[in-house]
Amino acid sequence: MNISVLLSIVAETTPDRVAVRDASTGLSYGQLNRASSALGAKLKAEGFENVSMVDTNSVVFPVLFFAAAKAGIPFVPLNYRLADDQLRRQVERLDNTLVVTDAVGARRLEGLTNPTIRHRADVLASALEPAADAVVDRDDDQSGTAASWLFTSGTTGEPKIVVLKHDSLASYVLGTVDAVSADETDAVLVSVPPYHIAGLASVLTSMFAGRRMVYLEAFDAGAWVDAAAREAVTQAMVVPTMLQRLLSVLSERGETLPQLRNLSYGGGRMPIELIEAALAQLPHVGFTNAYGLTETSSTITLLGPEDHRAALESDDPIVRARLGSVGRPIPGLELEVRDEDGSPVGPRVQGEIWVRGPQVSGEYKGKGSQLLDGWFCTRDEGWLDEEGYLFLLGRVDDVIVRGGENISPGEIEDVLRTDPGVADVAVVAEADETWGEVPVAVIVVAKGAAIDHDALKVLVRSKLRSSRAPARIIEVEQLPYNETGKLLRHSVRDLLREHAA
Amino acid sequence: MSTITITPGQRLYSAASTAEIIVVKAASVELSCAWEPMVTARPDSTPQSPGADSPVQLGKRYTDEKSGLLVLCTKGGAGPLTADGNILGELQTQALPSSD
Repeated sequence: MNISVLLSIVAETTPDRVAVRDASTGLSYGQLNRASSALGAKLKAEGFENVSMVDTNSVVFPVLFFAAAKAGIPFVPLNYRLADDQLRRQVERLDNTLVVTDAVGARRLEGLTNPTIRHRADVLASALEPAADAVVDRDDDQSGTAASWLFTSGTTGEPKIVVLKHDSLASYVLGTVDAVSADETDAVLVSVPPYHIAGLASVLTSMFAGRRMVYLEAFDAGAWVDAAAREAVTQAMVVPTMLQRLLSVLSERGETLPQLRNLSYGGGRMPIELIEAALAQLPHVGFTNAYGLTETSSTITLLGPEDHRAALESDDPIVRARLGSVGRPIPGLELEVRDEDGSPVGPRVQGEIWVRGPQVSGEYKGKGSQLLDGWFCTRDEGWLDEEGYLFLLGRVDDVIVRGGENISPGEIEDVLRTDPGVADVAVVAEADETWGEVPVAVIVVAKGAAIDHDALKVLVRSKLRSSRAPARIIEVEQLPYNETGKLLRHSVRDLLREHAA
Repeated sequence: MSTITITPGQRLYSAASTAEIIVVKAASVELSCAWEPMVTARPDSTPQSPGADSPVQLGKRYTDEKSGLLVLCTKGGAGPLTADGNILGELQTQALPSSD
């Protein structure tokens, strides 16, 4: 089913409610629906095969997304933070594309022959005041076609294009959100970038709930707090690095954001100390930890507000530990942890995480479906506790193989983080003549503290086993993260080379 | 009664109430709403028929297990929805804490 049908339902039910607002423009659900219909008809008439966007968040983002859906072509939000040559390479992979961007973006793409480039202000104006009276919604069955193509971050090679079909996205939304269930006063503050699956999923779930979406052009902690207070924001999604900065701005200003009810987080490892601090500083806010991938149409497991509270209040170490988990699979989704032979393993045994369900795409453009009997291998490592709470250890590709033994960096990082002198840490593999690979810890030392390298090695040895102890420890000013809080392990390995033993 | 061909993506209208649906998964069945066959064009007037105790609700999905038919309600109204006389079951949404 075409995802634009969901918008038409909301537009018919609450046409006058504000759908989306950025710094300069606001659109009601009726306007968003009409504008995307008008633009969709135009895109179809002009014969574009897809619509891409090189831009920050604005009301143009949902307009383009639904217009593309109505035209029956994929929407391709591109990472405007890429270097010019990488960005141009991605645009070149899109046949007969319309690129919507600003003056800066247009200059960056100069000389390319395959795209048609238009400025976002012109595109928005023509959508809001179409020259001709459009347009019927396209109700054709779009189940098998792509609603969006998203480029992977390409940390392990040339970026792949994930195909997200209408059916996968619609089943995620319909399975987890009640139509027009948001209160008139509900508002979500969106600061995740538009080219990220969380940005795309946010439009769909907020729209179907009939919630007001407030767009921040890009994340800045001060601007975020300003917007949250001004717009009486009730919920938002942040990544761990954002949360840390938000908490310090809030405490500097003595601001508590009394309207805020729900904060969800994901996209990177959340230190337990940080989430504990957040719970203490914002006791009126429910926290939700979400784990998902682009290939799974966003969220597949959730640790909800009740889980957070239960963990925080419990004396049982097993329940308490769940504050560091990503929760349990959402309804309708199957999840298994499997060993190298592909057999499911029992509780507390680590392995690869596999998922199956209607929201799982598992397809790359030009490479076809990666599903095995409906199951998708996430390439993430983890383990389940007795009640099915999932604990993530990291990417399978990041596993360190020392003398034939598989070591997850995550478990070593967790132990090192318990030392108060360690502000942040990444453990990566380093080539070793004897062992093939050995773990090396790259540590950011806490302000005003000092660390004892040998004591830290002893700590890991005592909590885990001797093979886990870092072969050496390197101190750095900071670790490299991307803008969604994902640790860039390949850049950490570059740091190692700079600090050769 | 005449049987219409149901295709995915098709919009269908109740002849007896305000209810409207869109077909998500098609099946070869006779689809009725409030015990009247559904039609392919919005009727000029929609009398409220008895049967308001089994309403078809906006944004909800209804399915017929036997045939695999799956529809989404795009406008609420009196029901029930039936496929070859069998009442369609509502697919429950498990509303989750918002995570996006």
